[in-house]
Amino acid sequence: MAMKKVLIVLLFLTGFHAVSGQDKIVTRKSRFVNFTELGVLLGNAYQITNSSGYSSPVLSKTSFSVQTFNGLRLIPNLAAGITVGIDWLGKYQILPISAGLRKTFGLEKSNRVKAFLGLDAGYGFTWLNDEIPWQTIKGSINISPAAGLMIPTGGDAFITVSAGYKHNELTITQGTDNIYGQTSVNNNRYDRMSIRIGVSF
Amino acid sequence: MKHSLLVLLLGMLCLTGFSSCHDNCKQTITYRTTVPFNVSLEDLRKSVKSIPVTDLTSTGKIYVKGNYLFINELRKGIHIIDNTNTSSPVQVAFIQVPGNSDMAVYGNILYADSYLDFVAIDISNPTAVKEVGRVQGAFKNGQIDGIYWYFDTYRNTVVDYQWKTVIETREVDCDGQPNNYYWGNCPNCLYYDMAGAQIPVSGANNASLAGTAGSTARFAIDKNRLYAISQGDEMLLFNINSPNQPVMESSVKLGFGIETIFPYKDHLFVGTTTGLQIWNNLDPKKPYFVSRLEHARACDPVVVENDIAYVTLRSVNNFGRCGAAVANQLDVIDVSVLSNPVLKKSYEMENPYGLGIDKGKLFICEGNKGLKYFNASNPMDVKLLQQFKNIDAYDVIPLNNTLMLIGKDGLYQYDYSNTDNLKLISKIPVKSI
Repeated sequence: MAMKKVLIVLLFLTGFHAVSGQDKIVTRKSRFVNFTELGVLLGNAYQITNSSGYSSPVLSKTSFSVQTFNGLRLIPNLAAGITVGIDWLGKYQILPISAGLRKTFGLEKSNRVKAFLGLDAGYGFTWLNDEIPWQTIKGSINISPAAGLMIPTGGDAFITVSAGYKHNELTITQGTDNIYGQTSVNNNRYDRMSIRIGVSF
Repeated sequence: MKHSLLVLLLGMLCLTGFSSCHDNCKQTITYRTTVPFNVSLEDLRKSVKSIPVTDLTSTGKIYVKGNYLFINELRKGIHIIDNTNTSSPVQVAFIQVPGNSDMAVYGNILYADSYLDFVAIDISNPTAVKEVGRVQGAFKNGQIDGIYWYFDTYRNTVVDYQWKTVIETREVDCDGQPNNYYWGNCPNCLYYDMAGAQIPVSGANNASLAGTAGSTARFAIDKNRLYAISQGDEMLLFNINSPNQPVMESSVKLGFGIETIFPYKDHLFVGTTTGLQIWNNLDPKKPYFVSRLEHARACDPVVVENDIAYVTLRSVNNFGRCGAAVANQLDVIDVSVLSNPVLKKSYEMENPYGLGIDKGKLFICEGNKGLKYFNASNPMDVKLLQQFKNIDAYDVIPLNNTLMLIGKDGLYQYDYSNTDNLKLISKIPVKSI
């Protein structure tokens, strides 16, 4: 039963449009799909400034983010591929490498604005961070769903505008070389709203 | 229809997304801290007694007298071990002495510090010891295992602290630097690390009556006097002509960073964090300053044999009283002219704590780097014979071909009658808590 529901949803997402607009489809020659976007990750955070845990309630946070999706069209309007990006999250940088899906709606080649959905899920690597002595920085999963609009440019390319959500995670373990062996483990979870613009072809 | 669905989807995504768009950064820190506890004078002064043997858990200094071995259990008391058969030492009793960190034995009398008091305990029968004398308020304050205690005169209690490991989790600023805690400052390295031991083999007086201490000892018995280094960098003189009734005679100001004391040839060698001081105690009740040899600030247990002093300097990287010592080394100092000690040679070491020497056989504890056994028959050419890497060694006493070693995980005894080879003969484990 559950499988049936999934199939129906998949059918809805992929087949329905294809079927309903079958006579109008003009398939692009290339199967290669690219979405390259830059934007911001928005959110808020507590700002805790001293060791006694005093906090000012909320601090808004804005981080810069870039990503590029490169994939192949599996069926009309659905592409799968790899997304690579960089998120500059305050003092830490995360380099997410994800499996990604891009679902577009409407005609593949059209001069009308159309919508798209994207989903990327993978692992955020921490290679860009410099570890200070006795420190290790480990990445974790990242998930990024988004929905957006594709604005035609006249050629094969589109300008994209999207909004979505991005989850990143980091674990920073700080040891010490003194004999008392204090350690601190920081688990940083960044849940942000993403707003991006970019190009797609 | 299609587009309105999409707009709705987009809107919901933004809304749900935005409401939970929140950085959540948690920090879990694990650190050691101190928790205060009080000991009332009344309780303190009636608690010296023998109790059944207990496991070694937090060991301090070691002391040997005859066939008995004494191991200090930090701030709790003293383990008495019958070491007649070194291959099978037997724990005989535990003497409860609150606030204890140092000890010395003269005849059948064990002298111990008990926070502010200096106590004389008759140990003729170790399983039923008897307090025979007490000098009240001899010490104004003190320090055990890196923690200072003090006497609260208003409440008439000793206020001491114990270590506690704390794990805390809290929400923090995501951009905050993870804390790198530097706790404590090694106020007294030897206490702190329970380092070092030595025996004034050739310098021991009253050998038949007094026992043998390590270089970490702050108590030394010589010429019917017990010299005790107090935390105030003073040397207290206890007259033990009548061993049961020690009497505090006087105190001598020594200077900064005093750590250890031992007698050698009518002189007292005082190890400090800045060097070695030599005091003349020909007249036991009036020791006077003779000379000093300065060195870089470091932790420095000292042993002396045949007019050669062996000093280990250990670099401690926590910028405390011991300083950020520049090197880990063994210094060989000629003290044949006591008024003018001369540094003859330095050897590189790894992480030296206590040391001991007996007839040219030199033993150096290298902390977590183990125990090293050297041939020092020629002090200008000290040769490494053997190294035991699998022990964490603080403190040694070599005596009559038996090397007694206290390490993190137990008391080890080695036979060193064979010149080239140490042989492990027994071990009493320290129980980890």
